Amino acid sequence: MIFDASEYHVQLRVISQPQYLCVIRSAINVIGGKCGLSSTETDHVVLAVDEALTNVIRHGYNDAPDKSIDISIRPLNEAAGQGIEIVLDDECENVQVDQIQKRDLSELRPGGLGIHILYRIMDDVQYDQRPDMPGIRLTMRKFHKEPAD
Amino acid sequence: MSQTPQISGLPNGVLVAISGDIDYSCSSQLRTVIRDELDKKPQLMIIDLAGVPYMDSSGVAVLVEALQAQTKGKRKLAVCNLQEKVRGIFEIARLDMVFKIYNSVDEAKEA
Repeated sequence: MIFDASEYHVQLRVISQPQYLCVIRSAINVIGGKCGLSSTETDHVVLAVDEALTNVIRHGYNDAPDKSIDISIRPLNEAAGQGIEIVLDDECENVQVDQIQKRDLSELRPGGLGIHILYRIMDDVQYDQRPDMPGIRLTMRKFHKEPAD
Repeated sequence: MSQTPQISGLPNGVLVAISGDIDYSCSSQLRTVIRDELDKKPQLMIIDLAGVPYMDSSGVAVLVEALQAQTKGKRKLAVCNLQEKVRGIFEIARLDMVFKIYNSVDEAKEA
């Protein structure tokens, strides 16, 4: 998938400090509706993005407070319907794509829920090594679905 | 969290009332407060989430740890007053069948 920054309507850069997670949540909360998502779908996407950012801060950057994460957002209007695409670019040097795995929920334990939540909420989730520099690119898509009768 | 959790004694345990969003910025603070109460080995710990509009998996992890500690000691943990978004993450993480969830503190006291 070729990333063309000019296609993205909103671009944000956040420093790797958890105190700013609420800022990104607020932004996604507003943008979700503009991309045709229902309020429940938007709530879920907010959670998915929050989980993805937390994983970067916690596991990718080992809680270092001075790293950056770029967030690019665009509406989707495709055969699959209206929706939202969110791309997170980090600069983690110690994580490989094949290390990122969701865990089995049958075991009750505190950690590892974030990736599972992300996959459950989003319709498409794709992790790639960034081609131009060290780091991971996470591309997530969520499409609006009419509620079943 | 917007403020430190409020701790109240119960005849058979403790009530922990939390307010504000719970995310990675404050979940370690919450963990400390709850562990301090778990160390006192309450027969029943009720966690009141009425004031929590949002919780991510780092907050859920704190509650799972508390549930495991209470279960291991043959004691009880109940959560109550979940707002819609918080109930949502419990359902997505399939924890709504694991926790004892009540609609009010009074109901949870009967746990």
